[in-house]
Amino acid sequence: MIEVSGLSKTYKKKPAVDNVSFTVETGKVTGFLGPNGAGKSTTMRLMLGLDNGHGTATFDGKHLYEYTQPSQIVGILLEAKAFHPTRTARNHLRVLAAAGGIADSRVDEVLDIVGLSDVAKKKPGKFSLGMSQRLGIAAAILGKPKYLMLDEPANGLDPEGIHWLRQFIKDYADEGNGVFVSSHLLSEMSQMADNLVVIGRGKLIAQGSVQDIINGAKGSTVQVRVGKQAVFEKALKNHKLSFEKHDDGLHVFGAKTDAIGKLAFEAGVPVLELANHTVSLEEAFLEITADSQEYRSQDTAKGGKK
Amino acid sequence: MFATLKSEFLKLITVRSTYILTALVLVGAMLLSYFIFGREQEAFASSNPLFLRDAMYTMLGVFATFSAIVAILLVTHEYRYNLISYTLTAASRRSKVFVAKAIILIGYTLVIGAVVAAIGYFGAKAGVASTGAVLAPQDIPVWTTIWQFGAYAVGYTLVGFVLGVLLRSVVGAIVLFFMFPIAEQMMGLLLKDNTKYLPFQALERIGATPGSQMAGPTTTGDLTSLAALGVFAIYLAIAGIVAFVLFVRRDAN
Repeated sequence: MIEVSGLSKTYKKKPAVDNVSFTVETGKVTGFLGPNGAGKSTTMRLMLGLDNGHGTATFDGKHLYEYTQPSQIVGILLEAKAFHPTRTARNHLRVLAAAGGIADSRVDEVLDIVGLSDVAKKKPGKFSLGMSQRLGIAAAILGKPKYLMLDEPANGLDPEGIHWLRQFIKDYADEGNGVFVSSHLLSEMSQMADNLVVIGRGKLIAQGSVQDIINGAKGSTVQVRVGKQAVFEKALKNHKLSFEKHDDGLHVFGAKTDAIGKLAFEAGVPVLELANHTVSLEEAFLEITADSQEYRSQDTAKGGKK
Repeated sequence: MFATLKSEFLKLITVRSTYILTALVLVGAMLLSYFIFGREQEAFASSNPLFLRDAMYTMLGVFATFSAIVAILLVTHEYRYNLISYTLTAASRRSKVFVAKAIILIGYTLVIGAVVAAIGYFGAKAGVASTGAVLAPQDIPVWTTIWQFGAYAVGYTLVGFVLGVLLRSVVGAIVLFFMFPIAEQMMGLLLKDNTKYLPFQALERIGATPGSQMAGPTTTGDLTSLAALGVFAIYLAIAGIVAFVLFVRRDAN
Protein backbone atom coordinates (compact mmCIF):
# COMPACT_ATOMS: atom_id res chain seq x y z
CA MET A 1 0.00 0.00 0.00
CA ILE A 2 1.15 3.53 -0.72
CA GLU A 3 0.43 5.73 2.26
CA VAL A 4 0.56 9.45 1.71
CA SER A 5 0.51 11.57 4.82
CA GLY A 6 0.41 15.33 5.15
CA LEU A 7 2.04 16.18 1.85
CA SER A 8 2.51 19.91 1.48
CA LYS A 9 4.39 22.22 -0.80
CA THR A 10 4.36 25.96 -1.18
CA TYR A 11 5.34 27.98 -4.26
CA LYS A 12 6.04 31.62 -3.54
CA LYS A 13 3.93 31.54 -0.38
CA LYS A 14 1.01 29.99 -2.26
CA PRO A 15 0.21 26.43 -1.20
CA ALA A 16 0.42 24.10 -4.20
CA VAL A 17 -0.27 21.02 -2.11
CA ASP A 18 -1.80 21.48 1.31
CA ASN A 19 -1.66 18.66 3.85
CA VAL A 20 -2.86 15.95 1.50
CA SER A 21 -3.23 12.41 2.85
CA PHE A 22 -4.59 9.31 1.14
CA THR A 23 -3.80 5.70 0.39
CA VAL A 24 -3.33 3.70 -2.77
CA GLU A 25 -4.23 0.07 -2.33
CA THR A 26 -2.75 -2.89 -4.11
CA GLY A 27 -5.01 -4.82 -6.45
CA LYS A 28 -6.93 -1.66 -7.26
CA VAL A 29 -6.80 1.24 -9.65
CA THR A 30 -6.88 4.54 -7.81
CA GLY A 31 -7.85 7.50 -9.93
CA PHE A 32 -6.41 10.90 -9.13
CA LEU A 33 -8.70 13.73 -10.12
CA GLY A 34 -8.59 17.46 -9.82
CA PRO A 35 -9.07 20.56 -11.93
CA ASN A 36 -6.13 22.09 -13.82
CA GLY A 37 -3.65 23.52 -11.36
CA ALA A 38 -5.08 21.49 -8.50
CA GLY A 39 -1.66 20.10 -7.61
CA LYS A 40 -1.93 16.57 -9.01
CA SER A 41 1.48 16.50 -10.70
CA THR A 42 3.12 18.21 -7.75
CA THR A 43 1.58 15.64 -5.41
CA MET A 44 2.97 12.83 -7.55
CA ARG A 45 6.41 14.44 -7.61
CA LEU A 46 6.33 14.89 -3.85
CA MET A 47 5.39 11.23 -3.43
CA LEU A 48 8.47 10.28 -5.47
CA GLY A 49 10.77 12.65 -3.60
CA LEU A 50 11.43 14.67 -6.75
CA ASP A 51 10.22 17.91 -5.21
CA ASN A 52 10.94 19.23 -1.77
CA GLY A 53 8.07 19.63 0.60
CA HIS A 54 6.60 18.36 3.81
CA GLY A 55 4.89 15.10 4.65
CA THR A 56 5.68 11.53 3.78
CA ALA A 57 4.86 8.93 1.17
CA THR A 58 5.70 5.33 1.96
CA PHE A 59 5.57 2.33 -0.30
CA ASP A 60 4.79 -0.75 1.76
CA GLY A 61 5.95 1.11 4.84
CA LYS A 62 9.25 2.36 3.46
CA HIS A 63 10.31 5.55 1.75
CA LEU A 64 11.28 5.09 -1.85
CA TYR A 65 14.89 6.03 -1.14
CA GLU A 66 15.13 3.15 1.31
CA TYR A 67 14.83 0.64 -1.54
CA THR A 68 17.99 -0.31 -3.38
CA GLN A 69 16.11 -0.73 -6.67
CA PRO A 70 13.22 1.79 -6.62
CA SER A 71 12.36 0.96 -10.26
CA GLN A 72 11.14 -2.41 -9.07
CA ILE A 73 8.85 -0.77 -6.53
CA VAL A 74 7.32 2.03 -8.55
CA GLY A 75 7.13 2.71 -12.26
CA ILE A 76 6.36 6.24 -13.33
CA LEU A 77 4.98 8.12 -16.29
CA LEU A 78 5.09 11.80 -15.49
CA GLU A 79 5.53 13.36 -18.91
CA ALA A 80 4.65 11.96 -22.31
CA LYS A 81 7.72 13.20 -24.14
CA ALA A 82 10.38 12.49 -21.55
CA PHE A 83 13.10 11.18 -23.81
CA HIS A 84 16.10 12.41 -25.75
CA PRO A 85 14.82 12.91 -29.31
CA THR A 86 17.88 11.39 -30.98
CA ARG A 87 18.26 8.38 -28.70
CA THR A 88 16.37 5.43 -30.18
CA ALA A 89 13.34 4.09 -28.34
CA ARG A 90 15.21 0.90 -27.50
CA ASN A 91 18.27 2.77 -26.24
CA HIS A 92 16.05 5.07 -24.20
CA LEU A 93 14.66 2.02 -22.43
CA ARG A 94 18.14 0.47 -22.12
CA VAL A 95 19.30 3.59 -20.28
CA LEU A 96 16.38 3.38 -17.86
CA ALA A 97 16.73 -0.39 -17.49
CA ALA A 98 20.40 -0.01 -16.62
CA ALA A 99 19.58 2.62 -14.00
CA GLY A 100 17.17 0.21 -12.38
CA GLY A 101 19.47 -2.80 -12.56
CA ILE A 102 17.12 -4.45 -15.06
CA ALA A 103 18.35 -6.82 -17.78
CA ASP A 104 18.35 -5.61 -21.40
CA SER A 105 16.13 -8.54 -22.38
CA ARG A 106 13.26 -6.88 -20.52
CA VAL A 107 13.50 -3.92 -22.90
CA ASP A 108 12.36 -6.01 -25.85
CA GLU A 109 9.58 -7.52 -23.73
CA VAL A 110 8.09 -4.16 -22.79
CA LEU A 111 8.43 -2.83 -26.33
CA ASP A 112 6.39 -5.81 -27.41
CA ILE A 113 3.80 -5.25 -24.65
CA VAL A 114 3.17 -1.65 -25.70
CA GLY A 115 3.28 -2.45 -29.40
CA LEU A 116 6.40 -0.46 -30.28
CA SER A 117 8.67 -3.30 -31.39
CA ASP A 118 8.54 -2.14 -35.00
CA VAL A 119 9.87 1.29 -34.13
CA ALA A 120 12.35 0.17 -31.47
CA LYS A 121 15.29 1.45 -33.49
CA LYS A 122 13.62 4.69 -34.47
CA LYS A 123 14.40 8.00 -32.81
CA PRO A 124 11.37 9.07 -30.80
CA GLY A 125 11.72 12.77 -31.60
CA LYS A 126 9.08 12.42 -34.29
CA PHE A 127 6.82 9.98 -32.43
CA SER A 128 3.17 10.97 -32.16
CA LEU A 129 1.86 11.80 -28.70
CA GLY A 130 0.20 8.39 -28.56
CA MET A 131 3.43 6.58 -29.42
CA SER A 132 5.29 8.69 -26.87
CA GLN A 133 2.76 7.69 -24.22
CA ARG A 134 3.27 4.04 -25.10
CA LEU A 135 7.02 4.50 -24.78
CA GLY A 136 6.45 6.14 -21.41
CA ILE A 137 4.31 3.23 -20.28
CA ALA A 138 6.99 0.81 -21.47
CA ALA A 139 9.48 2.69 -19.33
CA ALA A 140 7.15 2.58 -16.34
CA ILE A 141 6.73 -1.20 -16.43
CA LEU A 142 10.39 -2.01 -17.13
CA GLY A 143 11.07 -3.11 -13.57
CA LYS A 144 7.76 -5.00 -13.20
CA PRO A 145 7.04 -2.62 -10.33
CA LYS A 146 4.46 -3.26 -7.66
CA TYR A 147 3.07 0.24 -8.13
CA LEU A 148 2.48 2.33 -11.19
CA MET A 149 2.09 6.09 -11.02
CA LEU A 150 0.79 7.47 -14.29
CA ASP A 151 0.14 11.14 -14.90
CA GLU A 152 -2.41 11.60 -17.70
CA PRO A 153 -1.39 8.42 -19.55
CA ALA A 154 -4.37 8.56 -21.93
CA ASN A 155 -3.39 11.96 -23.37
CA GLY A 156 -2.97 11.67 -27.11
CA LEU A 157 -4.05 8.06 -27.37
CA ASP A 158 -6.50 7.09 -30.09
CA PRO A 159 -9.64 5.10 -29.15
CA GLU A 160 -7.83 1.80 -29.70
CA GLY A 161 -4.98 3.08 -27.56
CA ILE A 162 -7.33 4.18 -24.80
CA HIS A 163 -9.08 0.82 -24.86
CA TRP A 164 -5.72 -0.93 -24.68
CA LEU A 165 -4.54 1.34 -21.84
CA ARG A 166 -7.72 0.81 -19.83
CA GLN A 167 -7.44 -2.96 -20.13
CA PHE A 168 -3.73 -2.87 -19.42
CA ILE A 169 -4.18 -0.83 -16.25
CA LYS A 170 -7.02 -3.02 -14.99
CA ASP A 171 -5.06 -6.19 -15.71
CA TYR A 172 -1.99 -4.76 -13.99
CA ALA A 173 -4.02 -4.04 -10.86
CA ASP A 174 -5.73 -7.43 -11.04
CA GLU A 175 -2.30 -9.04 -10.77
CA GLY A 176 -2.11 -7.60 -7.26
CA ASN A 177 -0.35 -4.35 -8.10
CA GLY A 178 -1.44 -0.84 -7.22
CA VAL A 179 -2.07 1.69 -9.97
CA PHE A 180 -2.33 5.38 -9.22
CA VAL A 181 -3.45 7.25 -12.30
CA SER A 182 -4.42 10.83 -12.94
CA SER A 183 -6.62 11.72 -15.86
CA HIS A 184 -8.97 14.36 -17.13
CA LEU A 185 -10.97 11.76 -19.01
CA LEU A 186 -13.65 11.19 -16.41
CA SER A 187 -15.60 8.68 -18.45
CA GLU A 188 -12.41 6.66 -18.74
CA MET A 189 -11.79 7.00 -15.03
CA SER A 190 -15.28 5.81 -14.18
CA GLN A 191 -14.67 2.67 -16.22
CA MET A 192 -11.16 2.09 -14.99
CA ALA A 193 -10.82 3.19 -11.38
CA ASP A 194 -11.93 1.38 -8.25
CA ASN A 195 -11.10 4.24 -5.92
CA LEU A 196 -10.74 7.96 -6.38
CA VAL A 197 -8.70 10.69 -4.78
CA VAL A 198 -9.96 14.17 -5.64
CA ILE A 199 -7.99 17.32 -4.93
CA GLY A 200 -8.64 20.97 -5.62
CA ARG A 201 -6.44 23.99 -4.97
CA GLY A 202 -3.94 21.64 -3.40
CA LYS A 203 -6.37 20.26 -0.83
CA LEU A 204 -7.93 16.84 -0.58
CA ILE A 205 -11.60 17.15 -1.45
CA ALA A 206 -12.75 13.56 -1.47
CA GLN A 207 -11.50 10.01 -1.46
CA GLY A 208 -13.28 6.72 -1.58
CA SER A 209 -14.71 4.29 -4.06
CA VAL A 210 -16.02 5.67 -7.34
CA GLN A 211 -19.55 4.67 -6.35
CA ASP A 212 -19.31 6.34 -2.94
CA ILE A 213 -18.16 9.57 -4.52
CA ILE A 214 -20.94 9.49 -7.10
CA ASN A 215 -23.54 8.63 -4.46
CA GLY A 216 -22.22 11.36 -2.21
CA ALA A 217 -22.78 14.02 -4.82
CA LYS A 218 -25.84 16.17 -4.18
CA GLY A 219 -27.26 15.37 -7.58
CA SER A 220 -27.65 11.70 -6.64
CA THR A 221 -31.24 10.98 -5.60
CA VAL A 222 -33.65 8.14 -5.11
CA GLN A 223 -36.63 8.47 -7.39
CA VAL A 224 -39.80 7.06 -5.79
CA ARG A 225 -43.43 6.98 -6.96
CA VAL A 226 -45.91 5.98 -4.27
CA GLY A 227 -49.64 5.50 -3.85
CA LYS A 228 -50.26 7.93 -0.97
CA GLN A 229 -47.82 10.73 -1.76
CA ALA A 230 -48.96 13.17 0.95
CA VAL A 231 -48.48 10.55 3.65
CA PHE A 232 -45.10 9.65 2.32
CA GLU A 233 -44.00 13.29 2.11
CA LYS A 234 -44.85 13.64 5.79
CA ALA A 235 -42.84 10.53 6.59
CA LEU A 236 -39.84 11.92 4.71
CA LYS A 237 -40.11 15.21 6.57
CA ASN A 238 -40.28 13.37 9.87
CA HIS A 239 -37.01 11.65 8.93
CA LYS A 240 -35.53 15.01 7.88
CA LEU A 241 -34.99 13.85 4.32
CA SER A 242 -35.16 16.54 1.69
CA PHE A 243 -36.90 15.90 -1.58
CA GLU A 244 -38.20 17.50 -4.73
CA LYS A 245 -41.47 16.85 -6.54
CA HIS A 246 -41.18 15.85 -10.19
CA ASP A 247 -43.50 14.42 -12.79
CA ASP A 248 -42.09 10.96 -12.20
CA GLY A 249 -42.60 11.16 -8.41
CA LEU A 250 -40.37 12.35 -5.60
CA HIS A 251 -36.60 12.71 -5.82
CA VAL A 252 -35.18 12.11 -2.35
CA PHE A 253 -31.71 13.38 -1.50
CA GLY A 254 -29.16 11.72 0.72
CA ALA A 255 -30.76 8.30 0.99
CA LYS A 256 -30.44 4.87 -0.56
CA THR A 257 -33.20 2.85 -2.20
CA ASP A 258 -33.39 0.25 0.57
CA ALA A 259 -33.88 2.95 3.23
CA ILE A 260 -36.64 4.61 1.18
CA GLY A 261 -38.36 1.26 0.59
CA LYS A 262 -38.25 0.50 4.29
CA LEU A 263 -39.60 3.95 5.16
CA ALA A 264 -42.51 3.52 2.75
CA PHE A 265 -43.29 0.12 4.20
CA GLU A 266 -43.29 1.53 7.75
CA ALA A 267 -45.56 4.39 6.67
CA GLY A 268 -47.97 1.94 5.03
CA VAL A 269 -47.46 3.54 1.63
CA PRO A 270 -47.52 1.35 -1.48
CA VAL A 271 -44.41 1.80 -3.60
CA LEU A 272 -45.12 1.93 -7.32
CA GLU A 273 -41.65 2.73 -8.53
CA LEU A 274 -38.28 2.98 -6.80
CA ALA A 275 -34.99 3.73 -8.52
CA ASN A 276 -31.59 5.18 -7.95
CA HIS A 277 -31.02 8.34 -9.92
CA THR A 278 -27.24 8.73 -9.85
CA VAL A 279 -25.20 11.46 -11.43
CA SER A 280 -22.30 10.67 -13.72
CA LEU A 281 -18.76 10.86 -12.41
CA GLU A 282 -18.36 14.02 -14.44
CA GLU A 283 -21.34 15.66 -12.73
CA ALA A 284 -20.11 14.53 -9.34
CA PHE A 285 -16.62 15.81 -10.12
CA LEU A 286 -17.89 19.20 -11.26
CA GLU A 287 -20.00 19.49 -8.16
CA ILE A 288 -17.35 18.60 -5.61
CA THR A 289 -14.68 20.68 -7.30
CA ALA A 290 -16.92 23.65 -8.04
CA ASP A 291 -15.17 25.79 -5.44
CA SER A 292 -11.73 24.59 -6.45
CA GLN A 293 -11.71 25.37 -10.15
CA GLU A 294 -8.82 27.73 -10.65
CA TYR A 295 -9.26 28.15 -14.39
CA ARG A 296 -12.75 27.73 -15.82
CA SER A 297 -14.82 28.95 -18.69
CA GLN A 298 -17.84 31.21 -18.24
CA ASP A 299 -20.32 28.40 -18.89
CA THR A 300 -18.69 26.08 -16.35
CA ALA A 301 -18.53 28.89 -13.85
CA LYS A 302 -22.27 29.46 -14.21
CA GLY A 303 -22.88 25.73 -14.02
CA GLY A 304 -20.89 25.49 -10.85
CA LYS A 305 -23.12 28.03 -9.17
CA LYS A 306 -26.30 26.10 -9.87
CA MET B 1 26.43 2.19 -8.07
CA PHE B 2 27.35 -0.04 -11.01
CA ALA B 3 23.79 0.24 -12.34
CA THR B 4 23.95 4.05 -12.23
CA LEU B 5 27.37 4.05 -13.89
CA LYS B 6 26.11 1.79 -16.66
CA SER B 7 23.09 4.00 -17.19
CA GLU B 8 25.19 7.16 -17.38
CA PHE B 9 27.61 5.46 -19.76
CA LEU B 10 24.73 4.44 -22.01
CA LYS B 11 23.37 7.98 -21.90
CA LEU B 12 26.72 9.26 -23.14
CA ILE B 13 27.17 6.80 -25.97
CA THR B 14 23.60 6.65 -27.25
CA VAL B 15 23.18 10.25 -28.36
CA ARG B 16 24.31 11.74 -31.62
CA SER B 17 25.90 14.84 -30.08
CA THR B 18 28.63 12.81 -28.35
CA TYR B 19 29.67 11.24 -31.65
CA ILE B 20 29.49 14.47 -33.61
CA LEU B 21 31.55 16.40 -31.09
CA THR B 22 34.08 13.60 -30.69
CA ALA B 23 34.41 13.13 -34.45
CA LEU B 24 34.92 16.86 -34.91
CA VAL B 25 37.71 16.84 -32.35
CA LEU B 26 39.43 13.81 -33.84
CA VAL B 27 39.28 15.10 -37.40
CA GLY B 28 40.23 18.59 -36.23
CA ALA B 29 43.19 17.22 -34.29
CA MET B 30 44.40 15.31 -37.35
CA LEU B 31 44.19 18.33 -39.60
CA LEU B 32 45.58 20.83 -37.10
CA SER B 33 48.47 18.68 -35.97
CA TYR B 34 49.50 17.73 -39.49
CA PHE B 35 48.96 20.97 -41.38
CA ILE B 36 49.26 23.73 -38.79
CA PHE B 37 51.75 22.18 -36.42
CA GLY B 38 53.68 19.78 -38.62
CA ARG B 39 53.93 21.71 -41.87
CA GLU B 40 53.88 25.32 -40.69
CA GLN B 41 56.13 25.24 -37.63
CA GLU B 42 59.36 23.88 -39.09
CA ALA B 43 61.49 26.45 -37.27
CA PHE B 44 60.18 25.37 -33.89
CA ALA B 45 60.25 21.71 -34.86
CA SER B 46 63.93 21.69 -35.59
CA SER B 47 64.93 23.50 -32.42
CA ASN B 48 62.35 22.67 -29.77
CA PRO B 49 62.85 19.48 -27.73
CA LEU B 50 59.26 19.85 -26.50
CA PHE B 51 57.74 20.47 -29.91
CA LEU B 52 55.61 17.33 -29.91
CA ARG B 53 54.49 18.01 -26.36
CA ASP B 54 53.30 21.42 -27.47
CA ALA B 55 51.47 19.80 -30.37
CA MET B 56 49.70 17.43 -28.02
CA TYR B 57 48.88 20.21 -25.58
CA THR B 58 47.36 22.38 -28.30
CA MET B 59 45.22 19.51 -29.56
CA LEU B 60 44.14 18.78 -26.00
CA GLY B 61 43.15 22.42 -25.64
CA VAL B 62 40.75 22.00 -28.54
CA PHE B 63 39.47 18.72 -27.12
CA ALA B 64 39.03 20.20 -23.63
CA THR B 65 36.54 22.73 -24.95
CA PHE B 66 34.56 19.99 -26.66
CA SER B 67 34.70 17.66 -23.67
CA ALA B 68 33.30 20.45 -21.51
CA ILE B 69 30.43 20.81 -23.97
CA VAL B 70 29.84 17.04 -23.91
CA ALA B 71 29.67 17.30 -20.11
CA ILE B 72 27.25 20.21 -20.28
CA LEU B 73 25.03 18.28 -22.69
CA LEU B 74 25.07 15.10 -20.60
CA VAL B 75 23.74 17.02 -17.63
CA THR B 76 21.48 19.65 -19.14
CA HIS B 77 19.75 17.38 -21.66
CA GLU B 78 18.33 15.47 -18.70
CA TYR B 79 16.53 18.62 -17.63
CA ARG B 80 15.70 19.79 -21.14
CA TYR B 81 13.99 16.51 -22.00
CA ASN B 82 12.53 15.91 -18.53
CA LEU B 83 14.53 12.74 -18.03
CA ILE B 84 15.89 13.82 -14.70
CA SER B 85 12.72 12.70 -12.88
CA TYR B 86 13.21 9.17 -14.20
CA THR B 87 16.93 9.17 -13.47
CA LEU B 88 16.44 10.28 -9.89
CA THR B 89 13.50 7.97 -9.24
CA ALA B 90 15.50 4.98 -10.44
CA ALA B 91 18.43 5.81 -8.18
CA SER B 92 18.03 5.34 -4.46
CA ARG B 93 20.37 8.27 -3.84
CA ARG B 94 20.81 11.43 -5.88
CA SER B 95 24.45 11.56 -4.85
CA LYS B 96 25.01 8.33 -6.78
CA VAL B 97 23.81 9.97 -9.98
CA PHE B 98 26.05 13.00 -9.43
CA VAL B 99 29.12 10.87 -8.79
CA ALA B 100 28.33 8.46 -11.64
CA LYS B 101 28.02 11.30 -14.14
CA ALA B 102 31.35 12.75 -13.02
CA ILE B 103 33.10 9.36 -13.23
CA ILE B 104 31.77 8.62 -16.71
CA LEU B 105 32.77 12.05 -17.94
CA ILE B 106 36.26 11.71 -16.48
CA GLY B 107 36.57 8.31 -18.15
CA TYR B 108 35.43 9.73 -21.49
CA THR B 109 37.90 12.61 -21.17
CA LEU B 110 40.86 10.38 -20.35
CA VAL B 111 40.16 7.90 -23.15
CA ILE B 112 39.38 10.38 -25.92
CA GLY B 113 42.01 12.78 -24.56
CA ALA B 114 44.66 10.07 -24.89
CA VAL B 115 43.59 9.45 -28.49
CA VAL B 116 43.68 13.17 -29.26
CA ALA B 117 47.13 13.51 -27.70
CA ALA B 118 48.36 10.58 -29.76
CA ILE B 119 46.92 12.15 -32.91
CA GLY B 120 48.66 15.40 -31.99
CA TYR B 121 51.95 13.61 -31.50
CA PHE B 122 51.93 11.53 -34.66
CA GLY B 123 50.16 14.14 -36.79
CA ALA B 124 52.74 16.80 -36.01
CA LYS B 125 55.57 14.33 -36.52
CA ALA B 126 54.17 13.28 -39.89
CA GLY B 127 53.63 16.91 -40.88
CA VAL B 128 57.22 17.83 -40.08
CA ALA B 129 58.48 14.78 -41.95
CA SER B 130 56.43 15.74 -44.98
CA THR B 131 58.24 19.09 -45.23
CA GLY B 132 61.64 17.42 -45.15
CA ALA B 133 62.64 19.30 -41.98
CA VAL B 134 64.51 17.51 -39.23
CA LEU B 135 62.70 17.29 -35.92
CA ALA B 136 64.86 18.23 -32.95
CA PRO B 137 65.52 15.33 -30.56
CA GLN B 138 62.48 15.31 -28.29
CA ASP B 139 62.86 15.23 -24.54
CA ILE B 140 59.34 14.82 -23.16
CA PRO B 141 58.95 14.01 -19.47
CA VAL B 142 56.41 11.23 -19.93
CA TRP B 143 54.81 10.87 -16.51
CA THR B 144 54.76 14.58 -15.79
CA THR B 145 53.16 15.17 -19.15
CA ILE B 146 50.56 12.47 -18.53
CA TRP B 147 49.37 13.88 -15.22
CA GLN B 148 49.49 17.47 -16.38
CA PHE B 149 47.54 16.75 -19.54
CA GLY B 150 45.12 14.49 -17.70
CA ALA B 151 44.41 17.10 -15.04
CA TYR B 152 44.09 19.83 -17.66
CA ALA B 153 41.54 17.97 -19.80
CA VAL B 154 39.60 16.56 -16.84
CA GLY B 155 39.58 20.05 -15.32
CA TYR B 156 37.79 21.46 -18.35
CA THR B 157 35.32 18.58 -18.40
CA LEU B 158 34.48 19.07 -14.75
CA VAL B 159 33.98 22.79 -15.30
CA GLY B 160 31.40 21.89 -17.93
CA PHE B 161 29.82 19.33 -15.62
CA VAL B 162 29.56 21.74 -12.70
CA LEU B 163 28.18 24.53 -14.89
CA GLY B 164 25.60 22.11 -16.28
CA VAL B 165 24.47 21.07 -12.82
CA LEU B 166 24.38 24.64 -11.55
CA LEU B 167 22.47 26.14 -14.47
CA ARG B 168 20.49 23.14 -15.82
CA SER B 169 20.22 25.01 -19.11
CA VAL B 170 22.10 24.01 -22.26
CA VAL B 171 22.40 27.52 -23.60
CA GLY B 172 23.07 29.15 -20.24
CA ALA B 173 25.86 26.73 -19.34
CA ILE B 174 27.56 26.92 -22.76
CA VAL B 175 27.39 30.72 -22.82
CA LEU B 176 28.81 30.96 -19.32
CA PHE B 177 31.54 28.46 -20.19
CA PHE B 178 32.74 30.67 -23.03
CA MET B 179 32.16 33.93 -21.18
CA PHE B 180 34.24 32.96 -18.15
CA PRO B 181 37.68 33.04 -19.81
CA ILE B 182 36.80 36.32 -21.52
CA ALA B 183 35.73 37.77 -18.19
CA GLU B 184 39.01 36.62 -16.70
CA GLN B 185 40.95 38.36 -19.45
CA MET B 186 39.12 41.56 -18.61
CA MET B 187 39.70 41.09 -14.91
CA GLY B 188 43.37 40.69 -15.73
CA LEU B 189 43.47 44.42 -16.50
CA LEU B 190 42.70 45.04 -12.85
CA LEU B 191 44.45 42.14 -11.20
CA LYS B 192 47.62 42.28 -13.30
CA ASP B 193 50.07 39.69 -11.87
CA ASN B 194 47.39 38.17 -9.68
CA THR B 195 45.48 37.06 -12.77
CA LYS B 196 47.24 33.72 -12.41
CA TYR B 197 45.04 33.01 -9.40
CA LEU B 198 41.89 33.05 -11.49
CA PRO B 199 40.43 29.62 -12.28
CA PHE B 200 40.82 29.44 -16.06
CA GLN B 201 44.23 31.07 -15.96
CA ALA B 202 45.32 28.46 -13.46
CA LEU B 203 43.73 25.67 -15.48
CA GLU B 204 45.57 26.74 -18.62
CA ARG B 205 48.82 26.79 -16.67
CA ILE B 206 48.48 23.17 -15.50
CA GLY B 207 49.35 21.64 -18.84
CA ALA B 208 51.48 24.42 -20.33
CA THR B 209 55.10 23.52 -21.00
CA PRO B 210 57.42 25.56 -18.81
CA GLY B 211 60.12 27.10 -20.92
CA SER B 212 58.55 26.02 -24.18
CA GLN B 213 58.64 28.46 -27.05
CA MET B 214 55.02 27.61 -27.81
CA ALA B 215 53.71 28.09 -24.31
CA GLY B 216 53.56 31.82 -24.54
CA PRO B 217 55.47 34.36 -22.48
CA THR B 218 56.59 33.09 -19.13
CA THR B 219 56.85 35.56 -16.33
CA THR B 220 58.94 34.93 -13.28
CA GLY B 221 55.83 34.86 -11.12
CA ASP B 222 54.08 32.10 -13.07
CA LEU B 223 52.64 29.24 -11.07
CA THR B 224 54.13 25.79 -11.39
CA SER B 225 51.78 23.13 -12.79
CA LEU B 226 51.21 21.74 -9.32
CA ALA B 227 50.47 25.15 -7.80
CA ALA B 228 48.16 25.95 -10.71
CA LEU B 229 46.37 22.66 -10.12
CA GLY B 230 45.98 23.60 -6.47
CA VAL B 231 44.52 27.01 -7.29
CA PHE B 232 42.12 25.56 -9.86
CA ALA B 233 41.15 22.70 -7.54
CA ILE B 234 40.06 25.17 -4.86
CA TYR B 235 37.69 26.91 -7.28
CA LEU B 236 36.43 23.60 -8.64
CA ALA B 237 35.91 22.17 -5.16
CA ILE B 238 33.85 25.18 -4.05
CA ALA B 239 31.73 25.17 -7.21
CA GLY B 240 31.49 21.38 -7.09
CA ILE B 241 30.22 21.37 -3.51
CA VAL B 242 27.60 24.01 -4.32
CA ALA B 243 26.57 22.02 -7.42
CA PHE B 244 26.39 18.79 -5.42
CA VAL B 245 24.26 20.32 -2.68
CA LEU B 246 21.90 21.87 -5.21
CA PHE B 247 21.67 18.64 -7.21
CA VAL B 248 20.80 16.66 -4.11
CA ARG B 249 18.42 19.12 -2.53
CA ARG B 250 16.55 21.14 -5.08
CA ASP B 251 13.43 20.16 -6.98
CA ALA B 252 14.20 17.90 -9.92
CA ASN B 253 12.91 20.04 -12.76
